[in-house]
Amino acid sequence: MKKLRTVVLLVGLFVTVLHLSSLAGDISMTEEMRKANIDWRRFSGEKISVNLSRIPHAESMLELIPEFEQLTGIDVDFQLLSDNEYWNKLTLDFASGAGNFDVVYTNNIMYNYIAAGYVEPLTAYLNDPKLTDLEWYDVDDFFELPWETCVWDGKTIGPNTYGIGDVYSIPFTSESTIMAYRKDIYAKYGMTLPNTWPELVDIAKKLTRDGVYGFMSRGSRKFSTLMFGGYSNGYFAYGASDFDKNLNAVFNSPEGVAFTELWADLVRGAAPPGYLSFTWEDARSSFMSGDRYAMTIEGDVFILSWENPELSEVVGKIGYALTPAGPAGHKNGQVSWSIGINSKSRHKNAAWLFIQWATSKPLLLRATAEFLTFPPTRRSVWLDPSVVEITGKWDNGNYRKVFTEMTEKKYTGILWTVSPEMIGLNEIWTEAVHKVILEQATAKKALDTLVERANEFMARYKK
Amino acid sequence: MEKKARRLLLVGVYIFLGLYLAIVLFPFYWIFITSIKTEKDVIAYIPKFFRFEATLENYADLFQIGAPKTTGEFIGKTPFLDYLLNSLKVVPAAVGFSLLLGIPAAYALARYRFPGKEKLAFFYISQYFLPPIIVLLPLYTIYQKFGLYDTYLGLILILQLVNVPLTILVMRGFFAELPVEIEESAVIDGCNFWQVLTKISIPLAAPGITATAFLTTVFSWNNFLFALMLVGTEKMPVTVGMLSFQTYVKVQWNLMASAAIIAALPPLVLAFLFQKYLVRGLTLGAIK
Amino acid sequence: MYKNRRVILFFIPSLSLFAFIALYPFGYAVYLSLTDATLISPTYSFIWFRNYVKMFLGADFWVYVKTTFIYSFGVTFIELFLGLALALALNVTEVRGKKVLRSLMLLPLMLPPVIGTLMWTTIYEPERGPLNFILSQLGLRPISWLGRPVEALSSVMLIDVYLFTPFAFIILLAGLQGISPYIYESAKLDGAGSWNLFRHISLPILNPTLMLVFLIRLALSFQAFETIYVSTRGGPAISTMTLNLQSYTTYFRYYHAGKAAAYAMFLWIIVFGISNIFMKQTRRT
Repeated sequence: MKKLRTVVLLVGLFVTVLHLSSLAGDISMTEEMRKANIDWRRFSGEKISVNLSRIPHAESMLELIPEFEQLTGIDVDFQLLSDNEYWNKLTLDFASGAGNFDVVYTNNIMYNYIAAGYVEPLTAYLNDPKLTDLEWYDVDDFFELPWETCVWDGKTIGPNTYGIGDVYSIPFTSESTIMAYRKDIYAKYGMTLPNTWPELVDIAKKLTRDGVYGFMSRGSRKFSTLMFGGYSNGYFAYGASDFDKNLNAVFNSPEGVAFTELWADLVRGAAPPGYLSFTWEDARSSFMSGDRYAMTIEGDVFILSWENPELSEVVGKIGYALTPAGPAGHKNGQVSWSIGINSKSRHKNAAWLFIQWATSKPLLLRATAEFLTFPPTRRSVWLDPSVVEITGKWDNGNYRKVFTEMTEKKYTGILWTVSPEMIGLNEIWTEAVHKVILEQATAKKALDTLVERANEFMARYKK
Repeated sequence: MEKKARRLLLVGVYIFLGLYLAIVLFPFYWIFITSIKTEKDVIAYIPKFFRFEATLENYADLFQIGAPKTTGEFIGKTPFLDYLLNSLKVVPAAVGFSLLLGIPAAYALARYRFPGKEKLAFFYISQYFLPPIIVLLPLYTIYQKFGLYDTYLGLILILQLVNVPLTILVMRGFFAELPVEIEESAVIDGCNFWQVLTKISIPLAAPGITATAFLTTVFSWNNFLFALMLVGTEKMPVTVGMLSFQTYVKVQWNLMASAAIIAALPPLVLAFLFQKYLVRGLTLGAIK
Repeated sequence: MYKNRRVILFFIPSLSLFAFIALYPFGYAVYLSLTDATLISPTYSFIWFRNYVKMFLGADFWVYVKTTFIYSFGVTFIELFLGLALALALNVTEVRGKKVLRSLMLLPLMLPPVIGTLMWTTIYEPERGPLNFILSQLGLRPISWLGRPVEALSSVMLIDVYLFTPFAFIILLAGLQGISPYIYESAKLDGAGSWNLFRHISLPILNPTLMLVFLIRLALSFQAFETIYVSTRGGPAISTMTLNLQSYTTYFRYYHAGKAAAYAMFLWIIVFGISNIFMKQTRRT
């Protein structure tokens, strides 16, 4: 009897300590927030509607919403939708001008939203000392490129015309296209990393033997294929562009044709036969089950799956590297998830407080360290010991080197011409490249036709 | 000799039907086992036909039985139950509405003679055959203007585009088959028009109405394109909602498969139980 | 047959609804096709027939038309022949378990096409799908079912055949079963063999039904959406891009509303022509 009582007491004590310590963890997050020199409670009593997609960052906030409500007195109506549904609903709410959502997730490639005036410019909110403690929030803590790609003036269309104007959303995770290869397969056949794209293609073709394919990535008929499946990295590294400064389509430049031919050679010689129906999901899961692929050029966000022992059969066997440089240097396609304010919102200030909270140092650290919101957009998060520990394991620290190089040297960014038509253009571009791969047209012919179609798309923006 | 040839024919027929059935049933088998596999088994490079550990976890996740998952999975509620309820709410209403609209028209087409009758019949039937995309594209903006986007009413109304012509096509045949004499003698007996219609014609056509109802139920439930274009996330029916098992980092095939099984059950069960009516509906629509 | 002036009342409810959901949007679509409207810009201008001119002059346009026709006529013929073969097979007197067989064979038609297509897409998976696995076990090379042009179009057509053959089957079966056995009896007395019975009796009697099924399926096949949208989205390149799908893609992915309406209009005209033939045919029987 006495022994049982002791046990119960000990267990009770243990549970209480556990509970208290978790509370302590929560308390410290709010404490962190309180350090900001602003009046969090200024809009107390207001209600905001937050429309988010089911991604890890949203999940990192889910538990903490009550804390935000306590901190600010703002009532938060939280809606989590799956990816497909999310974009449908968002586009519709924007187009109808209903303003049902105050806070929205967006991507940095949604320049069409900015051009149409759907999202609120945030610069004024950032610079208002009563709304934002800039020192505490620390905009400089963000890596330059993800941030700059969210800045635009809404009308200047052309290559690299981001970075001037207002910031329209705050990026919280940024995915880049890098090369991932099987160190064991490369070693087995005595291959080293390629220095040029032609070398990359050569190695991939040589490794296509004995049931192994030297290359794979997403390849299906979708805009994201060319952008994040490797093609854009090489295309822009070759010095080719999609449009020139005067918005004339230049896909059929000699560099463009040369690289497209090289890419088609790569796919035909080293990619699996089903390549043109591969989705990003196929790319992600195929790379980590079995020994079928020697190399892939894909989004680094998949490393989370590839290095997860519960899902992946190839943990620790993958090496990471930048895609080779070309005459124009290294280029990495990139896309960032970001958070912004609906321009039709009726609670913009309250929404801004939410965004400040959701993209603050403490919260983004938690989002990455605990909820695997990866890759991070804040330097402090990237350098935090817990994040260093997790990511340092990948390829014995090589991934960290790759990441550091491409962010500090700004290889990674929005390579495609900034315009509201970016997505549609990349889709017809993918069609053209498909035709070349299938030998339905020569690279020159397919790109010539693409130039015609693309010029049509851009016609209304040319002066 | 004749008997031997007959026997050979029979063997051939059984082989042919057997092969066909194998092909018909294999996808059902495959999606079923996908729905009871774990995620790792689903993406396994060598597909597992029999030797895998079966689990009902996917179905539980679909309906949130048990503890909610964390990162990367659906946490909190999956909307699947909502999608299912949406379909369950919209389809019977759409079918009922189409009967109300279609039966009078079918009756009139069967019984009455008037100028432009065949042109009118053609108009109705053409709505079924003509590619709906041509009206769906403008309706995307029209519906928003009228506040019908992402509403039950909106979906019910647009489903009439295919339900009403189908109803008219099938019911016209059924009404035409009913002998006029019964109605005529009722009139002689002193019944007025309404009484004839409600007490005689419609009850006699009950099997036809049942057939039409089942046909339109199955086709309304299975509809995809209308919902895809005119419905958002709140009122999404299960056919469109099924595609949303995609998180930022992966596609959850095992969940999608269990959702597919559940979403396909109602029309399949209905068809199985009431196939006699379905067949009558399909054939009378096509054969006069 | 009655004659009554109030007959119009029977049609008013359905016609008023159709005015809203069919006639009004149709007119709007015609108008849209003459503008350069997009879904992301509030302003647009009236450009007369420029959309159509650009559409007809586009190199890919005729590929869409060809793909559309291959798909529609292809699946319709296959479904018709397969359905007839199945109906004949099931109709053979000695076959047992006809009711059970028939219900099983009806299943694909009752399946939501989006789910059926999803099922086949997973089966067609080049890496981990059962089809390629079976092929590799048999020592054959795996096929890129959805990744190469000819294979993709065929695979997608096969999904359509899977889903809609039961339609032809059930109607032709009913037609066959409706033929009075006495006709066969008297022909057999005259010494006719099975093949002749089929060729000179069954087939002619079934002819109008065959025609009907053909035209119904043909018209409906132009609307095929899920079979392509869920599996290939029109790819690889444009090898499975039918006019219907191109219209959808132009609207929802490129946001070019005017151009999309032009595609839809053209498709509509094709199907309108076919349904005219259908009506003339049914009026004849």
